[in-house]
Amino acid sequence: MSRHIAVLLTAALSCMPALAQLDVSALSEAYRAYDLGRNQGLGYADATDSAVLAWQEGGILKSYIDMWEVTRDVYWLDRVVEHFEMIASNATDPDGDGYLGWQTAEYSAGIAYAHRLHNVSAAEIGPAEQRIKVHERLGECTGHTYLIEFEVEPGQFRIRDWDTQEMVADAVTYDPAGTRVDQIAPFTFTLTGQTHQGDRFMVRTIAPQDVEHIAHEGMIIYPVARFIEAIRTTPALQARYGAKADAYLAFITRNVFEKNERHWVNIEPLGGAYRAGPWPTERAPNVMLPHNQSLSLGRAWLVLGSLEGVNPAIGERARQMAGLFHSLLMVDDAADACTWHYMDWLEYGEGLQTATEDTMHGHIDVGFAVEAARRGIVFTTRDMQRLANTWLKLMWNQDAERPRMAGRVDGTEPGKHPALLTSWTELAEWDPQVRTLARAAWAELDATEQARWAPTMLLCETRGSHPGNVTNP
Amino acid sequence: MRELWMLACLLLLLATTARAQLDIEALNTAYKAFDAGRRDGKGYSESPDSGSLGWGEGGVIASYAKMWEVTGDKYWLGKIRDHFRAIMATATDPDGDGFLSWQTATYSCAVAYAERLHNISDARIEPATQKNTNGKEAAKCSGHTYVIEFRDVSTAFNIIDLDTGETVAYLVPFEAGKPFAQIEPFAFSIAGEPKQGDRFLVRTYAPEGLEYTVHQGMFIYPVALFIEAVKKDPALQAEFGPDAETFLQFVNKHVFEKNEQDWLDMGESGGAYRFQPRITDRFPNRIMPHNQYGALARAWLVLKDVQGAHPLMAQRAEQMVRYFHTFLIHDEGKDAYNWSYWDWIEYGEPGRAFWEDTSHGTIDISLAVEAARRGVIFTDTDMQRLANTWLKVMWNQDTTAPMMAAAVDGREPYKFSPLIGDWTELSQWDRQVYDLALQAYMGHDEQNRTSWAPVILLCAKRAGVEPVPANP
Repeated sequence: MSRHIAVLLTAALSCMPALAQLDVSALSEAYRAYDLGRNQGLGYADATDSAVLAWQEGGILKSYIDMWEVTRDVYWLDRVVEHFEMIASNATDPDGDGYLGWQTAEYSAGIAYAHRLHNVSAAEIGPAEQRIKVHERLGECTGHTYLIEFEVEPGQFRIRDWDTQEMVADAVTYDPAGTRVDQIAPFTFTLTGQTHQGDRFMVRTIAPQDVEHIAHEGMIIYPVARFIEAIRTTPALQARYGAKADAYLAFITRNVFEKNERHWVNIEPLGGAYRAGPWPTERAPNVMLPHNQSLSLGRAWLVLGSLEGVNPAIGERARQMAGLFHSLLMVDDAADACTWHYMDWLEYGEGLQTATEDTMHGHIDVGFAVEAARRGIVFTTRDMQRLANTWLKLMWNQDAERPRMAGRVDGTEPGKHPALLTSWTELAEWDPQVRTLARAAWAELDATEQARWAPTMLLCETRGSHPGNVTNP
Repeated sequence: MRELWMLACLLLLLATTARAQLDIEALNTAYKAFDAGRRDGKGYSESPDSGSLGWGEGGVIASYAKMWEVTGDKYWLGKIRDHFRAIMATATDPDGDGFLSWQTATYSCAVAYAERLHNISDARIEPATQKNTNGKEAAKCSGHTYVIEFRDVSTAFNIIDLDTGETVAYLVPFEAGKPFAQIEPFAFSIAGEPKQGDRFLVRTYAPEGLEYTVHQGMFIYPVALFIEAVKKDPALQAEFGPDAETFLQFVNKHVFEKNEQDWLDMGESGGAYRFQPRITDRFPNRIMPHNQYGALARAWLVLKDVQGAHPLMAQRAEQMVRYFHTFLIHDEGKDAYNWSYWDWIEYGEPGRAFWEDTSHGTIDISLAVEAARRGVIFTDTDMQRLANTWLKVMWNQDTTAPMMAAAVDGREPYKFSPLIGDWTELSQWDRQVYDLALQAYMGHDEQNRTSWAPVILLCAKRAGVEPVPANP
């Protein structure tokens, strides 16, 4: 379908009464009922795993503050309170650094170090180090030390778990030309060279450890930051929520902001970002985080940084993150749109990048840009129009009736996602077509799914109705 | 003729003097009293530390075996029995390999691995691996993991203990290449130009309780002599038979079979034991120095023909004796032997250490003596050559104040007495070994002579010197 016809059809659809008016009250009730049916209204707030809190509970928390923004019903503020107090009560400090947090081993790697001992022969084992990040057998990594030993003769070996003294494998035939050893799950080694009776090779493994992730903290904290902002900027809410907002701010300032200062890296004059922790089983310890991970928390700092009485360093970090991310956007002149990488980082003094950002992680990046633009921090209206053009000109399949969005921000992997996606739809504030496509996607949903997506759709409507209102959410 | 007469009188005088000085019964009684006063007669038998058992108790229990051979007094068999019962009682199996044993961290190392993380700069940390083998220093190692981080600036770093969350060092000024030692007992340096945010990880491994074949050998060898004596003499069965059998079964399993795990076959050269495959061992999996496997090989030489001994003992004993014999170097000029403290093969290439020192050499000589006396590899010619090492290479040639060199190559200083145990057993092949030992013995006061009684009495016996009868 030509581009011009698509634009006209979209405009026509937007005039249809059934799509033009959303019954906020009915949808609010529908979402309330939907929410209460989710683990009896607890969502995933009772989880202790940070991955669950982030990717399951984080969206729920955001939906509450979005519903507050749309409806101004304090019920939704109460939901934030109930969930966050449960989440905060489960924060712990297992690493003894003096800061509370939430941990998961979900993204941790299994590590193995292999080396020969003082053997008679010159046979070698490789690789010296392995870091397995994703593997169906990653959960089998024991963290034990193993011995590959040629106990009886050079032509066969056994594998002993040194921690338990159990034989993992016995009488395995050895070929000096190269023998694959895969009995120490999930790792694979190769032994080469002529061995001698008595030769031994040691494999030390480290099992995936529970670590803290900035991205997860961002998913949890960002909606709470908006709660704090709502309370601080709405005098009528002070009596009921003021003390809680202050307490949450104090908790976040210490256990999230101050804690993560140790992971901060300045990339002046462009700005800065967070790095991964130094934990041995991190996938890439100390690397500059992918954009979505750093910006996940950056959104909270944008929100809190604009409040009076908040540690001014919070606002400064937000500005720096906006500056760095903005500097790494690549302009597509033809579409007047932006693309960017999933990850840009510096290592060994060199600039490195991954593939183009994908749509699912990209929603966090866009959400950051939206918050920045609404607060006049780095991102301009022009920038936001370009991001909207990314959504509409690079990623959209140009089908107004059944709009589908690409899997990546450069339009590759076409047709992978609906046009109703969290944070992407907030671009409606800068381009009404975003809202039109969201409505079309909405119309395809059944009642249950409409209830589920009500907060996203309603926020899209609300933001689309108040373009450029950056300081009064 | 006159000269011959004078020489005969002199020899008679010397022999009479020697016999008069070595009153076996008196020394037997004196040594019993001396031993009873030494840690209440228990020696170091109740220690759970392998090093203490080896180097402390080993000498004590060996002295009992010497006194038994010299006196035939069952009292000494009883002492060996009592001490080994206590030693067995402290054996444990912390590594879960199914074998009881004794451990010590004294000789265990502290190990550190250092690496850069995914840093912005290309600065690197050195060395990537280090081992601290100094026992006292190594003991300071926590075994924790540390992060060295240039948190806020590139000109100074903090050190965080990841295990405890504590900051070990704060804002240490950075200088490229300059060593820093806040992660004890290691020293690192960072080369290059780090950036703010750079981090380096250091993983440490603290010394751990390790099991040592040489320690086991030091006290198992005398126990082997006990077992052999009891098994061969029906008259001893009633009193010592059950213990001998218990000891033999314990040794079969928890010493012989246990050490089989670390056996290294070197083909025609023989074979020996390797060090444990532990990161904190000084040389994990390398074949042991001669004195270390030799300490235990002596026990297998003794037990190999005892009924009930592990069937592989004879083979292992022969292999170890052959391995040691292989590395003896014949000094044709002096018709003596010298040898290295340690010979090994690694990466397919031979390696060796310095010349054997006199102290560790006592165990090598003890191995050779035991082998020769049982007709395993070492011949009388070999033993005479070893005696020549003692007398022609290591002795300062001073008959009045005889002293022995620091090593088998005659390296000075002359700091060892010719009375040093086990070297003195070469008296069986050269009487002069005994003469020098006696000269040293006579230079001691009465108390010290008592402490040396087992050594000099055995030396005399092996030299064929007749004992002083109780009632001449």
